[in-house]
Amino acid sequence: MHLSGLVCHQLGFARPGRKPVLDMLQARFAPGQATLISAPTGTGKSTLLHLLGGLLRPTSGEVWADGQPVSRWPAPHRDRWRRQVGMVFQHLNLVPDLSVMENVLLPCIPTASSYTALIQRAGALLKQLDLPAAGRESLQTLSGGERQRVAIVRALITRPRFLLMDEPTSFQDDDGTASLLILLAEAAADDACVVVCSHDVRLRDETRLFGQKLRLHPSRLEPDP
Amino acid sequence: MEKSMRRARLLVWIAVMLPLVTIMTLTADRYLRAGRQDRAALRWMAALDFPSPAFWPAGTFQRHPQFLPPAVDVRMSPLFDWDRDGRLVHPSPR
Amino acid sequence: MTEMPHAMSQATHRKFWSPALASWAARDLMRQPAFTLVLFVALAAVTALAALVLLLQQTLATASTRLLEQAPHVVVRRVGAGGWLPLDAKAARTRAVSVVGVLRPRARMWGVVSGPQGAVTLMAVDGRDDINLPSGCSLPQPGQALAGPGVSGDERPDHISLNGSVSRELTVIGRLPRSAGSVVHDLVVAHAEDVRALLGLGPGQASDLALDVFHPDEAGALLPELAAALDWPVQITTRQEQLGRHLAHISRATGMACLGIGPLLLAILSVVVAVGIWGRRNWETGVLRAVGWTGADMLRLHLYRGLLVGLPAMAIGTLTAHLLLFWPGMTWVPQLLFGWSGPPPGFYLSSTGSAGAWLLSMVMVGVPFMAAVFWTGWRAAGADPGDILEGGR
Repeated sequence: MHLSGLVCHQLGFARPGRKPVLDMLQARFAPGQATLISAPTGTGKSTLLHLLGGLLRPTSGEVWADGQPVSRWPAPHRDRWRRQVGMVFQHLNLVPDLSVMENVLLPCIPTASSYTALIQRAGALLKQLDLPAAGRESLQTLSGGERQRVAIVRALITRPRFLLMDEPTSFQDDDGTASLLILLAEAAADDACVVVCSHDVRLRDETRLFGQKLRLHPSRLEPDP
Repeated sequence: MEKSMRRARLLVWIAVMLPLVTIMTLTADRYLRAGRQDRAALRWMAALDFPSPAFWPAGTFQRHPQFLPPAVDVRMSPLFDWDRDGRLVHPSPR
Repeated sequence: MTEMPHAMSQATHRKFWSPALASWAARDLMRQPAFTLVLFVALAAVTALAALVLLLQQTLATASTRLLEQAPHVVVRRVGAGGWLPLDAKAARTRAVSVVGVLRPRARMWGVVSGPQGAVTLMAVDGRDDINLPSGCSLPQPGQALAGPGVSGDERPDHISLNGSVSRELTVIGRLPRSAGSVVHDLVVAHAEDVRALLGLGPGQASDLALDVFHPDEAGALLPELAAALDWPVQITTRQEQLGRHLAHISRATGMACLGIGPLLLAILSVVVAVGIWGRRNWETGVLRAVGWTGADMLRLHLYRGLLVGLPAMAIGTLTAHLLLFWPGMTWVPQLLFGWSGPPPGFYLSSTGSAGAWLLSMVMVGVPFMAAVFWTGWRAAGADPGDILEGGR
């Protein structure tokens, strides 16, 4: 399977003793393209993103990334591959006692040779999302929307090859959503593979950014008109 | 760089430097003092034909181990007069 | 957007030491200041205890060995059913010198008597030939004495009262040098006449006979001949036996202190493992793994954290032990361990093996500690990020 981007091949996931969350899913997310996946709550959007990002291992089928069966790889190889993934979690997963900048820089720490360039980039991204560029604030002083934007910057800071976002606009007003869409367009233009799971109507109504809109069902992903 | 990270860098610097400084200090002390300190003691030991060093106080069997017959530890023996602190009550040979 | 190298192109082969990760490990420790401080103090204390014991054992053993090299090769004491007996000096010398291989037999007069503040070692100096006291000390005349630095005088500082078979008050004409404290600390050097009276020795009698032998390593072979040459039952002690007894006492004293190290170390390791496994770190491990940290990164973070606390703590612990033993004026260790009532003699820092003692104490504490750190890091490295995040929520 020598396709670039992310490919789900007969992908399935079930927790022990429960019925499958996803079953025999086929899909391709091409690089340079943004995909919106929408579905009602509880249909497995987060699980799909976790499978695509290598956080969970499928119980059947495979995830291929740029022609490589990453889901079959042993954990150390998947760990290294995951450095190419930027992810925004539904529950944000920010570290509460760290400052904004520290949270943003978290993905870069093991590979960083110099903080200077990273801080510059983080400052620019924070500014783009209407957050103070210095990032000195404690996370606990921020609103829900601001925290979500911090999580978005954290996902973008490494210029990931695969950008996966779970309900990234759930706490955003229209301005915040517009800023995010600009960043996503820039990432796609940078040849990143962008996958956004959301049931936010503002995203579903967006026509220019998302080259592919899909609706998730447990056993299939079908185009969302 | 943030203040907290600057402090963290300082902590790393201290954590690296402290052992180095300690090793250098101890090594310097070792070379400056060692070997020279016991010259006087060695001279007195030889001059007095002294039987044992004075790490333990006088009157204890550790200070005068020759008071103990070989192979038999007599500290608990009623035939010898040791007090509770291991000191000889009548230690002088008569 | 600021130009950055693509995540994909970042190098994957890195060295163990990463300044950025080390800084982060330090930042991580700063987030738990109380735990870090307690761990630091506990590690430093255990290292200090281990280093104290090992340095003490090493310095005493080395000092004893060096000092006993100056002692007579063989000491002969007369024994009877009731214990030690004085021997006839002239007869003993004559008999001993008749044994082939025996050199320079010297009859000595020495023993233990009560001083103003406890027992003192009393030694006569003019009963033997060719004695020259070091440091320009003059030989005491009858009624005079030289006192060691640990021998306290009476209310009158230039007099000392000694009680043995009789009581004598001697005039202190000089102090034995503090620099020779490990030999003369509790010593009173007096004229043979006074010593004889205090120890209850008759005319011509001595406490024991010291002698050298032609081949010190083979002194043991002479003992049967020497015992047979003398008219009375004797106990003969070679220098090697004397040294062996000293080293045994040293091992006994320091070995008891060693027993305390194990439980303390175990307590620290338990805390490290408990905090590493069940603390809030679990959820955070999932987050870090989810944002791109590899298992190796997690392991390195744990090891850095361990090293950042452990290395300076062990350095401070070793330094503390060194100062407690060797800093001039530090006396509580020998007071505690050896039962000195007054100020004890200072320890001499002997170069042989002290580096080994430092190293061994650091290994004794450092290896189990880093093993515990490695274990928690290994668990963090092997955990599945998805499971941790879902479980931690």
